[in-house]
Amino acid sequence: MPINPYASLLKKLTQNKIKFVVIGVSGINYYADDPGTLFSTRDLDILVQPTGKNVYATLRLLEKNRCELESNGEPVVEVDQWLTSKILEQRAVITARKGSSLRVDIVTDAGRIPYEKWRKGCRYFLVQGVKIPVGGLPELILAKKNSNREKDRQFLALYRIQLKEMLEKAKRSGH
Amino acid sequence: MKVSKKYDLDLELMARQAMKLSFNKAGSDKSFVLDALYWHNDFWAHVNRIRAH
Repeated sequence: MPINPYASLLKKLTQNKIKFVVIGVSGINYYADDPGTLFSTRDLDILVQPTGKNVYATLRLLEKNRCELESNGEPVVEVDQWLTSKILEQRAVITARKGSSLRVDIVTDAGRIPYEKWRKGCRYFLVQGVKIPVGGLPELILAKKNSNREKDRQFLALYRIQLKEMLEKAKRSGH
Repeated sequence: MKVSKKYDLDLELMARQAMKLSFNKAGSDKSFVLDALYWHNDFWAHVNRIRAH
């Protein structure tokens, strides 16, 4: 079986002491008990601590790992401190792609929830021996509610019962 | 109601087993989340390649 590029990337972020939290549907999926209850998604959303040093280190790491970076359809190349400050200023979403199977969205701001609150509520899940910080389920759902996007409204409406059950289970198990 | 000693022990055993189970669950590997993401993208990449031909 080939090495999973997502697992490899998350491992590298952790090893390089990048401060981040996995969010979005890919974050909600960590609360699923088995593959049969996963929600369908095509990307991994990563909220990084919005400081110049951390965002710069994240983007440099992605570049070093031969990921193609883009924002708003425009390529992002040769990341430096100036570009990092602009990304932070604009709260730009950076999409990193590698090959046909890896797509990661790097965000510095999510769901109108401050990074510190995400970090405080986050839970750690093990992936191949690496502890991955994932947003707390209540924050992940709240972020969807706050996003004011039609696709998020539909997601919440469609999976209302399943999400409620996941929340109850997470509360019982201390997640 | 008088609760027998055996009943107490059974309850304790059950509680211990539940704790053990939840501990195992909390520590269980979640590789399947990332595997699903990877295979999902890989599948669609294949579909798009076929469509392009």
